[in-house]
Amino acid sequence: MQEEDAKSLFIDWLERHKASVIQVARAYTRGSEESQDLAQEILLQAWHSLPRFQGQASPATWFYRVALHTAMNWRRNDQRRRTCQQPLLEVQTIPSESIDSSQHAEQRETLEQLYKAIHQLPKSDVALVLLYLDELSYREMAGVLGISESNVGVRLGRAKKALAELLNVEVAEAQHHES
Amino acid sequence: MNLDKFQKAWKADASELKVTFDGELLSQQVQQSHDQFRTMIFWRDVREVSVSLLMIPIWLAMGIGMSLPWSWWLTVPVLLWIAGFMLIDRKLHPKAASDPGQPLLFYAKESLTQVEHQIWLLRNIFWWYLLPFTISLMAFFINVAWNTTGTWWGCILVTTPFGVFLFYLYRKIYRLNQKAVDEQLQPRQEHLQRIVANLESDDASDGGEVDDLVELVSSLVVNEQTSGDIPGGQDWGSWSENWNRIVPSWWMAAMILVPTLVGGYCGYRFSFSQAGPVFFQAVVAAVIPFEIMFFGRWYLISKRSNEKPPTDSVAKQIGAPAILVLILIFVISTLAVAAVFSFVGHARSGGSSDTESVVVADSPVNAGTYAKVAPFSDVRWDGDLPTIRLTDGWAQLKSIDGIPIEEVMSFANEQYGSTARKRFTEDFVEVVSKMGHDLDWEVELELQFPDGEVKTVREQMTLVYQRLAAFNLQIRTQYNLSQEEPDATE
Repeated sequence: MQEEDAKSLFIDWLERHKASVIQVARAYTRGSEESQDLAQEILLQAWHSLPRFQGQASPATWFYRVALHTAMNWRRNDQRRRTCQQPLLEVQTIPSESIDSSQHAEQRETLEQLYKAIHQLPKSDVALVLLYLDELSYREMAGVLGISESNVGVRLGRAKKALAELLNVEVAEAQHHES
Repeated sequence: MNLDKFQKAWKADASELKVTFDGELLSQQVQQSHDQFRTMIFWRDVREVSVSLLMIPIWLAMGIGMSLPWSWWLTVPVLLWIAGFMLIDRKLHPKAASDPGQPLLFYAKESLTQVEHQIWLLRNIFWWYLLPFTISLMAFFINVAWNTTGTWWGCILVTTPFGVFLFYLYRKIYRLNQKAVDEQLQPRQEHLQRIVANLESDDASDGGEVDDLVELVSSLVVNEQTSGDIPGGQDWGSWSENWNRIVPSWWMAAMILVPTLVGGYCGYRFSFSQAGPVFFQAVVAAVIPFEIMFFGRWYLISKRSNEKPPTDSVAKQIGAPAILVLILIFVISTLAVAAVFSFVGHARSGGSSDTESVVVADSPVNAGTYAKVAPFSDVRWDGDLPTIRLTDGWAQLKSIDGIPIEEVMSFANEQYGSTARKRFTEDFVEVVSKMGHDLDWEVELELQFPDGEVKTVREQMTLVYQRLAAFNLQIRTQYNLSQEEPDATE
């Protein structure tokens, strides 16, 4: 793969998955500075691994694999390395024009509640929950984790139940993403 | 109410996020990170093989400097073999985790393969590490013992303590490695096998293993950190942390270094003539305070850590004071080995001179140099026929290693003319060697004793100057001459 091709491909993928990178980073860290560091690390790892992408998995699956693998291995010690680097990313939240400020405030509150619950989950459940929140299919989740679809079903059910308990809501048993 | 609300908020948040990034900077940092990784891998490999490679020049220097026998050199191919084995093993079984981008199950399998390989390495440490060293070192001990004693029983007597020491040392290393396998690697292997089997199975009833996904994903990173398994199975991080605990400051380094240097100086300055070479005494005097200070400190730290596991944070990178003490250990160890050889050489030469020591050489003729040794302590002449003095009196010399004495003296007369008898007495090895006969440190002499009995005996060579010195002393005593007057040996 030529360097320019790789670069344009990477930018194209990043355009589509940039939000996921930030959300994965936020889910696995506490505090904006740390999540920024982790997001940068995910980007570095993704770019570093790009030449070895062989197209056996979809770009989305591959991107999630890199992000989750990097996030699960994230250590506070790695921050020391990050502090020497210049910031690669700039993250802004631009409120949608279709919702008013009260709806936006309610959405922020819901998100804060969600992140708070996610931070209390085991790291393995966090991976499944993130894939679920991003509406990946069971097949895609199985591809990311390397386990069977039936395994995904059982484990996701348990992870959702744990999340629901933390959020104090009921889980609709019929919720499935088999599409 | 269900999770839909949260899912919607999540999606809405994703759509509101605006991320901008600097592609050029990212590219530069990836390259920088890649270079750092390659450097780290390079130095890790260097570190692992350098112990073996570092020993080679030391081995060469000691072998050449001390004219050690051929068996000394057997250890050089062994060191090369160990270094080569470790390098090839590292290339064939890299311990670094694969790049991200694979399914998480992939990393568990990769980790399992690596753990299984580490188990294989440690289970077989006897064959690839301990046995080659045992063969080369035992060959050296046996060779030196044979050269020194010249008899089988003497050889066994001298070799046995070294053999026993080597046996216990290697048994300890072997057991440490087997313990590491039994207590750490095998449980880890079984655990990983369970995780892999569970994840590969469609039966998800055992949910307990799911939480091991995190461990599973980071397992290769753990392997990376614990790869310093040769020999002894200690990882670099905890190894350097321990060294930093033992020698945390320059003050502590000085507490070890200064007594060592003072001891060495005292050993040099106040040496006794009866206690071996000055070099040996200086090294011993340095080693004693070093061992007291260093192992005392080691014992204290180890005792403290056994009583209460350390919770303080210590730098993972080994500090300069600890490096200084490590270098000191290396220098002291090398000097100690050299001092032992120096002492052995001194003892063999009878301890009469600090400057003329006999080294453990293959034969009395070494690289064109003839040892000043002879199988007798004194000679009397009856015409051209020597009568020699042995431990149990005088006897006429009939033959040396089967060469008739007439033949030897005829050759000496031909070569050296009027100085033939002097050369035979003082340059025995040179005279006989130039006749084309190879001499060993022990020769077979055919002797005729005054009572007419003819006997063949094996006699060890002793240094000529000892004999001459004794003779000088006898003459001086007889004629009441002072030590400063010229020799009267002729």
